[in-house]
Formats: sequence, structure tokens, C-alpha cells
Amino acid sequence: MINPQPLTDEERATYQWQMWTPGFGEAGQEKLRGASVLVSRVGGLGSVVAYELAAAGIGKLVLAHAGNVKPSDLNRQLLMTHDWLGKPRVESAQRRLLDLNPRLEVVTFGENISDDNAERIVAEADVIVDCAPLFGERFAMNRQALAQNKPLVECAMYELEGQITTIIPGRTPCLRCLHPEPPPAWKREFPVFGAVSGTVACLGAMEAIKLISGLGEPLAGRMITYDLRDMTFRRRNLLRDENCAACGRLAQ
Amino acid sequence: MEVSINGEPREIAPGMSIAELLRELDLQPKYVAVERNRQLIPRGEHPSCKLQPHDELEIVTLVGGG
Repeated sequence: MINPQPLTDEERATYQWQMWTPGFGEAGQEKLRGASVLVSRVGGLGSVVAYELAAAGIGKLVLAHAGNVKPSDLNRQLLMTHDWLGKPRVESAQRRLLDLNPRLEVVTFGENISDDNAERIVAEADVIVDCAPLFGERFAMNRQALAQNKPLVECAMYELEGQITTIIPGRTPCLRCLHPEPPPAWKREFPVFGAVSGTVACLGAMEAIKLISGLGEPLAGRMITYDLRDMTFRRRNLLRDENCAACGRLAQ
Repeated sequence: MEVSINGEPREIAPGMSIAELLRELDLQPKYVAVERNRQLIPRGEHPSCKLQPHDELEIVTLVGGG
């Protein structure tokens, strides 16, 4: 449960322009202040999700990402910087986020989500934004989101395409309803521009803000797919798989 | 009968199911999602979901990169 936190005068001044949004206001900002979001990982997609949420005044970010900054990260992983090459990615991410918002609480895990750690990492956050490139990580988060009854924003991209949907356990289809098993051809490395991963990341950050504050309508049970090659955007309705191995037993 | 697949018209046998269509197109049903008239149809329903004339189908490759 999210406990709204009162704002200081400085926070009121910082977030004034977004608090003018109808349906959000100071009450919405206080909810963001009291909320925590898990972003896994903080690559091309997760970097932008985390940065937008830090800018919007989220109270706490939980980041999970293994490894050190590599040159090939720098075309899209906007929280990684040239001066941090060879050093841990989560440190670079934390530093950049605190430069922007020193009030932010950042909890870092220098590991990728797996079946071994998903339970304790998911337990740290109210909302999860899945930005992982591999299906093993995605399935581990889906399982824990269902087990801990936490909303999961599923963001993904490939080449010039992006997809996003929001999973509400027991109410909407889960990731396994869409993908009963991981596609065999899926690889850790894929063609990507930062502007493509960043597009779906901004949509994902907005979904998290909406889920926390109650603003607007989240993409629950619906999926946006887009192709920036010809600028086609579509919204589809998703149907739950009643025999889904992951969520089939949860009540409607 | 005629249906539309990803915006292109296509003649298919009357009463064909989604599963039969995917076989005809030589697509692995596990790795694509099929939207019929703006609704994604769960895989388990592909064999029983009979297509109707003028159905609008979108066959989507699901992606996972981050």
C-alpha cells in the first residue's frame, strides 16, 4: 500500500507544473512521494523510465542491473556515462539520478532479476516496470508480481518496434498468457536506437505514475504496439488465457 | 472467403480456424500473437476460433528487448 507523504515547500515548487494536471494535483504528487518503483534493468529502456520517475518526484527507486558500463551501452542507456566505463552500471545510474533529484531514495542491486532473487527484490517496491531484455528475467518478475499482487508494466522493444501493456494480477492477462514460453530465437543483443527504447520507456514511466496516483486509465488488459519505421501505433485488447500456467488459478 | 491479414486481403478456405491459417502461412503459433478484429486471441483458442468473411487479422511478433 502506498502512504502519501506531505510535500516540502521546495518540492511544491519543483513539481508545480505537473501538479497543474487535472486529476493529479498535490494529492497525486504526495502519492508519488510515498511510492517505490522497481526498474529492471536500467538499460536503453529502464534508464529512461528511472530518469523520468526521478524527475517526476517518485520517493524511491529500486534498480537491478548486473555488469559494468561498456562503450556499446552509450548509444541508449542514458544513465550510463563515458567517465564510468568499466565501472558498475548501477553506480552510474544512481549517481545520475541523484544529480537530478537528491531527495530520491535509490536502492541498487548489481544483479539481474532471476528466480533466485526476484522475491526479495520485488518485495522492495509497490510497482514494477519490466525493462529486461531476456525472457527468464521477465518470467521471474511476472511470477513474483502475481505472487505479491503488484502491478507490472511490461515494456519491450525490438529494432524500430515497441510494445507495452500493464498487468494487474487477477484482473488482466499476465505475461504468460501472451508468451506461454520464451521465443527460441530471442537473443541478448538486438538492433536498437535509444530513441526507440526511450519512446516505450516514457510510456512505461507514465503508466507507473498513473498506477500510483490514480490519474487517467492504465493500459490494463490492452497493449500498445508501434513501429517507428512507418509511425504506426495500434492499441489492442488482450484476452486472459483461462488455462494460463502462471495466472489461471487467480480469481477474476 | 476473403479476410485481411496485416492490412492485405487474402483468400482462405471457408471456416478455417486461426490454427489452420497459421499452419498454411507456415508460422509457429507459439511465437506470434494473433489479433482478430482488434482483440488478441489466446493461443489455446486458436484451434476452435473459426474465421468469418471479412475478419481483420493482425499477426504480431511479440518482442522482448529492453
